[in-house]
Parts: sequence; structure tokens; C-alpha cells
Amino acid sequence: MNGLTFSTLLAFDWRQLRRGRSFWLLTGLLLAIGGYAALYGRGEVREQHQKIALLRHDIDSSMAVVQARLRKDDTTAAWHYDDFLFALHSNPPDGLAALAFGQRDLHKFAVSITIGSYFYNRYAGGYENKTLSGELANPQQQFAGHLDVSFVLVFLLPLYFILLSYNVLSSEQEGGILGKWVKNEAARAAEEKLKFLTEKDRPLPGLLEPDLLAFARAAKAADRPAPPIGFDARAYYQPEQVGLSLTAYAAQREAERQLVVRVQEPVGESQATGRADALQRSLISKGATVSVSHTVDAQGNRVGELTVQYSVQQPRSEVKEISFMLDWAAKQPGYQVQEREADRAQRQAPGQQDAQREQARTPGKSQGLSYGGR
Amino acid sequence: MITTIARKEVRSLLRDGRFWLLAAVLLTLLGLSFVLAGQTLARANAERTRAQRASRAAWLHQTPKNPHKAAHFGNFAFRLKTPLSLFDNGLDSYTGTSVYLEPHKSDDFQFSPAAEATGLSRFGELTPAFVLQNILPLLLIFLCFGAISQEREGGTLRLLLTQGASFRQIALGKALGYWLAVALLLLPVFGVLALALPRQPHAPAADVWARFALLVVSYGSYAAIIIGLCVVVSAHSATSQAALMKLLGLWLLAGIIVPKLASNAGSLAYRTPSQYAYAGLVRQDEKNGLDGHDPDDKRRAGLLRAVLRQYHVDTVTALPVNFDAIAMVESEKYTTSVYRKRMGEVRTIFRHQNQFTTLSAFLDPVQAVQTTSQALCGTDYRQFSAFQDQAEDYRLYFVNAMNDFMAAHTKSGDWTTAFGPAVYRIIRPFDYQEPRLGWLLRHEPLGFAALLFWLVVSGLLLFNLKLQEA
Repeated sequence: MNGLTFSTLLAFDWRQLRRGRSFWLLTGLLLAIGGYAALYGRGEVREQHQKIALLRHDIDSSMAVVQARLRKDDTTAAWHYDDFLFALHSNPPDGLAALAFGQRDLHKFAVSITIGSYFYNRYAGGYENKTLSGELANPQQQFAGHLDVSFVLVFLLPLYFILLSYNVLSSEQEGGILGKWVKNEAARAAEEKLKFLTEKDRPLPGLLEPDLLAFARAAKAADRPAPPIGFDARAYYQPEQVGLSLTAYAAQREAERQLVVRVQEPVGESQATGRADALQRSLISKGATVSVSHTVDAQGNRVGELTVQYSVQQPRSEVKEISFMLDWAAKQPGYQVQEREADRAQRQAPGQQDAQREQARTPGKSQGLSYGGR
Repeated sequence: MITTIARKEVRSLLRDGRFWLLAAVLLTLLGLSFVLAGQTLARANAERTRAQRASRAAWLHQTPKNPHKAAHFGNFAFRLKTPLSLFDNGLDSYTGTSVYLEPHKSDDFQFSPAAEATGLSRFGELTPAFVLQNILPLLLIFLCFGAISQEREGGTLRLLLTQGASFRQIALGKALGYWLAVALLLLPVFGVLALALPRQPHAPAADVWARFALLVVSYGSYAAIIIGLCVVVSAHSATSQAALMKLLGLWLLAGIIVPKLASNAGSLAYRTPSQYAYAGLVRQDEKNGLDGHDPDDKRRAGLLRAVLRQYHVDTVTALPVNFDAIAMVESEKYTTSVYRKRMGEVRTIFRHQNQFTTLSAFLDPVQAVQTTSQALCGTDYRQFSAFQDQAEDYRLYFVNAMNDFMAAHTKSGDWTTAFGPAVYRIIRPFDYQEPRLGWLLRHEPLGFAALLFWLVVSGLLLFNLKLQEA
């Protein structure tokens, strides 16, 4: 898929997405929860910082007491100051902890170390040993866990994408387009898609199968010729292969003509066999597309049925030749040409024009050269 | 008519491959979680019983020494997991497993399993309760989202109505049918739970069975609530697809977002005090007295006067008892009341925080069943506090029993006379008694009320369903 096609698809889907209510609802909800999560994480980090600051403040004032006393009298035994000698040991949360708070609420983040403090050996016996207890914590809060940004990203964001793409894809595939686009109330969507695809000669993207069908119906609804069944639309839609604009394509389709020639080949007439094939060969040599099928009628006679296709966009001379050939066939016994009156008139027009021009140059011969009449 | 529809619904569900697929998923998860929980429970209780015995043996086999010094060697209180924690682990991972009991100090609970686990455990543990609270609704949604909307889309709703069934009967019958099918599925689960319940001395069997019965009723109601809501949403949705989307959105909100939001809001509204600040307050109270005007030396002097008057003597040496020990008895009582007062303040803050969760149960049926389930299984905060209180009572009991003995059998100033194991045997071992169901219902009625509220709401919504279009 080339870049242009990709961007075309992207632009179209974005257009469709932003029109839906669910997209805005879901996005709004996610952003609101994300905002709350960011605030929550910031609050928790700030709280731990405050608790550390409180401890630091107390330790500083304690040291101030020791300093003041030592300044007054520095002969006192050191153990007199045991109760005032603390050291702060802390593990402050950094800024990113606000995004993913993790297990911080379960572990100590600040302790004041003093004589007899044991960090690991909490239950060492003896009166002097002070145990370092953890922070006060509400187990029910810990059980519920944090609603921080990491939770939103890990848990909610994937769900957001699932809900979003579930809505977009399934609604489009499961009859959304096929069912509704043909209906009048949804025709607007079809028209817009068509308009979007055709505007500024935008190359058409390689669409998926259901879209292809939908496009065909939309095109029909918009009064454009639809591709015939079996027509390889994929090749047509591939811009690098065909590179047709929709208007060019529509004109091409409009110019296409189709008719049927039935050729009877009676059993008794030896010269009649192979008539159909002969006609096919000569029509093909003139530039038409012909397919033949043979059947046998009620009398046991072979009947060849030629499906002839040509386009009025073909060179004028080709149309004229094909037309002469068909007119010739129409006049033969055992030949039957089935086509619309308007088509016939149109294909005969170049020949007639030439004949009239000829007649204008040599007026005497006008009678003999006229054809198609009588 | 309702029973006819219900019977048809059960029959077609049991024939449906989807039902059995979902049932297989549910039962596999439940089986797995039961095995895991059973192993954890058995191992934890075996370890804790062994540790409790070791603590007791260490206490009894101390060398002869002064009784108060003996008390300093302390005792441990290990919290055994309740029998029903096999089903709902609740807060057990966060509450800590043991506490060290010693004179003068009230220690914290230590060693919560969650602190030693990785952050992954915060996404929720696979316990039977988690499966029934969060996964079962999801499966119920997949079963019931098309209850009414599918009948409408298929044109069969009109047929049913022409058969003489009212819309209400159809809705009620379908809900009943789904509920019966789920009950059929869950009964064996609770049967297995009943068989697997461990017998424990501290939890009398009658009480455990009463809790168990209420647990079955709670989860039965929970399934009914979810099914009712699913049918109501299905009836109000134009297409089955829309119903599924709505229900999944509700599941996400009720199962994941609201519980966290409620708890977080609680901790934002009521901040937990710093451990350091709390310890400072305790120290201050011990020193200056609970009212701030009764310092410890003044308390001691007053006590001395009272004791001298009691024994009609003038000096401490003339006392027939050890005044140091009497002072310690009183001091222990005093500091314990200080701890209780300050701990009570902290608990009040926690209770305020938890109130958000409890009240959100009236907005969120998942919270309602979670609260009741944890309460019934003995793994909620209230029952953890009860254990804390009993451990604290035991601390005061054994420390003061030792102090009393010292007071009666030695003279003031005597810290050296040694007494042997006969004295240590005075102390009865720590014996925790689980709170009874009646106590629980009196103290934590809101969860049960919320569940009942949801049952009524869901029933009313179902009963008042109006036919939108056939």
C-alpha cells in the first residue's frame, strides 16, 4: 500500500470516527480518569514528601537542642544526648513515582535512626532495642490499590482501544454499510464517501471487499454507472495500475455497448456451418469483443449466439466498420441482431455521416449508397 | 407462565455450547483458585501454629529470672487464617501476620505478604471470591446481554407476546431461568467449599456454618442482581450489540474503576497521619499524661502515697510488697490506655476512609458483595482490628500478671530474686477467639444493607419493565 493510499484511508476513518458520539464519550472518560490519576499520584507523592519533611524538621530541632546544650557545657557524658541524637534515613519518591506509585505504600520510606535501632532484626531482645515500625497504613486502602497513570495506561488504555475499534470495524462490516448505505436516511454517508473519494482526482485506495460492493451501490445511488458483475474492480481501484479518475471511468462505462446476434445454422445447408464463428472472427478483426455460445433449437438446428461488446469511444473508423458488419448480418437470412434502437442509431451515425459527406461530393450517386433504410 | 419461560430458558441454556464453554472457564478458574488458596491457607496456618507453639515454648523455658525481666522476653501473637479465608482472602495479604508483645510498648503488625510480593499482586489475587465477584458478572453479561434484545431482533418477542405472555412475565421468567442455570453451576462450588473448610479451634463450627450459609445467600443474591440488571439493560437496548457494549462498560466501571476511585477518594479526604507524628504523640502522652497536666513523676508520687496509706506504713522499705512492680502495673495500664486512645484516633481516620468504600456499595453491587464477603469470611478490617485488640489485651494481661507476681513476692528495690518456669506457667497461652456472626452484623451492617438494597433495586427495575417495541 503506498503512502497516499494509507493517508487517504486514515483521513477517511478519522472523519468517520470523530463524527461518532461514542468516540468522544470514551475519549472524554479516559481523559477524565487519566487526569484524576495524575492528580492522585501527585497527591500521594506529596504526602510522602511532607512526612519526610516533618521528620527532618524534628531531627533538626533535636540537633539544635544538642548544639545549644553542648555550647553551654561540653563536659557531659555522651549518653545524656542519646534521646536527642537522630539521623534521618529516607527514600523520597521522585517525580516519576507519581505516575506509577507501585509498592511505595507498603514499605517504609523514612526512619529516624538512633541508638539501638535495628532495621532488619526487628525483634532483637533487650530493653534498649527499639523497633522501627512501618508507616501507619489502612489495609483496606492498600487492598483497593492505586488509580495512578500507570494503571490507566496498563489497564484502561487497551480497553479504550478495544471498545473503539470494536465499534468502528464491526459496525461497518456487520451490515452497517451494506444494510444502511442504500437506505435513504443513510444516503448522506454514501454520498459523502463518494464525494470524498472523487474530489481533487484523489487516487482511490485499495478497498476491502465489502467496501467495494458498498461503493458500487453508492455509485449507483449517486446516479453513476456501476461496474458489471464480475468486473474486476480491484484492478480498477488500484491507482498505480490503471490510474483512472472516477469521471473517466464513468465515461468509459457509459460508452460501453452490448448486443446479441443469433445465427442459425440449419443441418441441411452445408454452407451454413461455421457462420457464427466466421462472423465472430470478422467482428473481432474490426475491434469488437465477441464471445460465442452454441445451442441446438427445437428443430435440431445449431444456433450460434454471439455476444458483441464494443465502445463508442473506440476510434470512429472501428465503430463504423463494426456497424457495417452488424448491418450486413442483420440483412442476411438466418441472422438476428438484438440491440437497443438508440444503440443502433448511435453506431450507424459515423457511417451515415460519411455517406452524406460522400453524397454531397457526388450528388448523382446518392441513391445507391444509402443504407440502413428500407 | 413465568416458570414455563424459566424452564425453557434453563433447557436452552443447558443445550447451548456457549453456556458450557463459559461454565468450563469459570469452573477452571474457581478450581485453580481453590487449590491455590487451600495450599496457602494450609501452609500459613501450619507455620503460624508452629511459630505460636515455639513462642510459647520459649516463654516457658526461660531461665529463672525476675518476673518483669521475664516479661521482657515477650510473646508473639500469630493470626491464624480463618476457615472461610479459603474462599475470600480479603485484606489478609495486607494486614500483617504477627505482632510482638512486650512490656511498655504496643508494637505494630509486621510481615504482610503483599509487602514481600511484586507490584503485580496489586492487580488482584486469583481467589475464589475474586472469580465470583469480577469474572462471574462478565460471564453473566455474555450469557444474558441478548435476553430481550435477541428475541426482538429475531422477531420471536412478538410471537411470545401473542402466546399470551406479558412482557413482565417474559423478563421475570428469563431472569429466573438464567439464575437457576447459574445456581446449578455454583451449588457444586459451594459444596466443595463446605467439604474443604478446615476445622479450627478458635472458630466454632456453628458460627462458621452460619457464616457459610449467609455467604451462599449473598452470592446467590449477587448473581440475581447482576442477571436482573443484564435483562433490564437488554430490554432497554435497540440491538444486542448495544446491550453488550453498555453492560461491558458498566462492568468496567463497577468492577474496576469505582472501587479504586472510592478508596482513593477516601484517602484524599482523610489523610493518614505520619507514623512518626503518631509515635511523637504517644511519647508526649506517656510523659505528660493523657490530659497533658499529669506528668509521669507526679503520677508515681500520687501512687506511692496511696499505697503507703493502704498498708499503713510510712516508708517504701516498710512495705510488704514491691512498690516498683506496683508502679509498673499502673504505668502499664496507663500507657496501654494511651496507645488505645491514639490507636483509636488512627482507626477513626481509617474508618472514615473506609466509609467511602462502604457507601459506594450503594452505587456499585460489586462493592456490596465484596464488603459482605470479606466480613463473612473474617478477612475485613473490622475483624482484623478485633484480633489487634485481643492481642493488646493479652499483652496487658501477661505483663501485668508478671508485675503483680513480682509485687506480691518481692520487696521494693528487689530486682534480682529469680523465679522459675512455675511462674511462667501462670500465664495462659494466647487464645484468639473469632468474633461471632451476631457481633459482625451489629458492627458492619452496611454491606449487607447495600446488597439487600441492590436486590430490591434490581427486582423493582425488572418488575417495572415496560415494553418499548416488539
